[in-house]
Amino acid sequence: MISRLYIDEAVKHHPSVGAVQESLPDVPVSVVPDTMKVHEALAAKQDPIAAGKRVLFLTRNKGPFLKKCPGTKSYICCGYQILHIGTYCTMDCAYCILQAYFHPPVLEYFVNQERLFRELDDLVRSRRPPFHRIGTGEFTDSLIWEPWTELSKALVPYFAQQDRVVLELKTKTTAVENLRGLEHNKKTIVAWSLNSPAIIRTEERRTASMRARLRAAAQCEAWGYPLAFHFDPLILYEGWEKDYRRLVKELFASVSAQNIVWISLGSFRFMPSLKPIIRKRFEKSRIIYGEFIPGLDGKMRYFKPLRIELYQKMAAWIRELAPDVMLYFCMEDEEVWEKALGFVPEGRGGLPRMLDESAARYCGVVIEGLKIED
Amino acid sequence: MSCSNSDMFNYADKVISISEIDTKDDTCRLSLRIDPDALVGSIRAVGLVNPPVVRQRQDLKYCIVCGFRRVMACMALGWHEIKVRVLLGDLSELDLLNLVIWDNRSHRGLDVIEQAQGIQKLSGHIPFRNRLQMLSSLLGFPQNQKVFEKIEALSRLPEAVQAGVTNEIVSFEAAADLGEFSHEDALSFFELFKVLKLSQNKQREVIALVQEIAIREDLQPGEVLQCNEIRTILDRPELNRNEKGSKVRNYLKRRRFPTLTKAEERFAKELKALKLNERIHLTPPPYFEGGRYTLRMTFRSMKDFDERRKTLDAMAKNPALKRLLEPWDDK
Repeated sequence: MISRLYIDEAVKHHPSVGAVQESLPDVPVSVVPDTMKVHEALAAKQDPIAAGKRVLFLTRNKGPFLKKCPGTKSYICCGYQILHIGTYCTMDCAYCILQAYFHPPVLEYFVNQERLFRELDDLVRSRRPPFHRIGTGEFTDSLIWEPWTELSKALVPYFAQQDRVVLELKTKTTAVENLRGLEHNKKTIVAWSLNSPAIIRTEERRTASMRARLRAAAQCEAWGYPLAFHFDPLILYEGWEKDYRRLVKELFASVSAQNIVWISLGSFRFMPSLKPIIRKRFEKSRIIYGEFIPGLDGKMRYFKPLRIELYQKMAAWIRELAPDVMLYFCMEDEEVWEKALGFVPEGRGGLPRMLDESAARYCGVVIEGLKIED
Repeated sequence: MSCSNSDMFNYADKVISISEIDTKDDTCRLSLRIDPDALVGSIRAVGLVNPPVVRQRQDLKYCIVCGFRRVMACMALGWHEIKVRVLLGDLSELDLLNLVIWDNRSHRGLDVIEQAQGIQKLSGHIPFRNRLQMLSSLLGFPQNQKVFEKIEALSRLPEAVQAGVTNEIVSFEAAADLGEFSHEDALSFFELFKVLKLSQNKQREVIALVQEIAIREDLQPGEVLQCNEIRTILDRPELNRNEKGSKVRNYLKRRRFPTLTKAEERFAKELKALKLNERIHLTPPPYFEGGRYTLRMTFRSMKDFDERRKTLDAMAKNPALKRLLEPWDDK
């Protein structure tokens, strides 16, 4: 799958580099002075976006490892914090914003994790950390790195030995084997993005099937990990109601609602610059031809009554099988919350607070001023 | 300073029979302007000042290198013979195209269709890596990959549509958009634009709407353009071009965005029920996103202000306002 390994000259003697090289013994290696050299090599390819998925660039993160999620004030944000381990993905989803986010996008992994753990140390030592939820699945898939790195084996036990912050690993893979037997103390939530088999087949190249994801989730549940699920992006297409209803049923037939920390719902939204990329790279894809309007954040999103109907139905199907599960919307406004769920987060302390409470309840995270009752 | 011709191009002036010219040979033709009318008067008045440049082929027929319209004008005048400059020597197609381009550019810039023809005819003769730099310099367009791709797309269009660009029926940008359609579909758009004479932005809007409707409904773009609704609008004799254009665009928008159009129509209906006058304007948030409505009121005096206040009081009591502010409640 990886056809070339690029190594940033600045990290070529880092011990993690040798470990990655050992896991890719037959892959040719180029040591480069900077990212530009990798970008130049990719830009010359016919499909640089696809080519960027087949090279792995080992480098260092020059900025902070902990970052705020790029939410906007126009919609209600969950207050997620990103642990920036690397960028891009080996899978190829039509709707993936990462195709347009980096120019050109390249699979990039940061090996200077000494600093990552120093930043985490500073965070977890604080009695009142500014946030309680961290995830690695914003600029990449959390588990695609497992074949070449031992990141999960380092992160999961690290989070297990503290009780202030919970880690969410979000994936579309089934690469959970490295999680087996780890001391997790319920401080790592393993989460899957879910979609209907029809959407996975047409829009999510090289991802695991829906059933395979659910089997992996059931496996993690058996290992005692708390779970989460993200129905995102929900896409309107002919037959979506039947397919999504079945998906919800399959989810709760595979895992127990009692072990689900949260479920998010998000309808398909995209930056306008992604549209020509999807048209070019996914000629048969129909997802950009829905009734989209420009949202307040500049992204295209389904016209509001369509979103409300989609969420109302999804919420009803989920509530039918898991009435108490923490359900939330990713980047929606108060009107959508009110109409689809019957309340707005502000009335319950705000969405970040609601999610923190769920993390406290399911994962035992200690939050100052919060007492969880069984 | 010498006044001789270039080392490469040598000519022999000659009078030949017009029937010896193969006017269908367009190897060196860049321009699609073949209407000779403007030249007929000039040639009739002062004769053929600049003889066309031709080249004799192996079958002894002549092909035109420079001066297609001059030859056509002479034919239109009923001439049987014509004075020409016959190119001598062994010249490649690239040499001939260079001659045509520089001959044209000596007195005017090439239009985009001529540039597109130039790209099409020259591309096979130029190494790929130098293509943009050489063609932009030779044909006179900016050295920019996106511009190059748009101009190149024009050469794939049916000749009628290319002529439509030259005649300003189809804008350059819209024509570049049409480059990705089949000839049949591109011609369907062209027929519509001939009737409606839309601005560049509106042509592009129509192209995008039709393309997306076709994809959504699994149709060919031509089928969308030839639907009964559009044909009925175009056939209405009481409508002028602008009105037809507006109705066609509205129809396409309604078909592409049915829920949004319905919401806009519903808003307009409830707004009318509020009976506001022209001094009070209520506008919804763009695309009804965000939920923030805008009320704008103008007044000149206390009396005016008092009247507006009464209108606003009546508006607040009108059930249409609640319906208007909660547009998705009856879904």
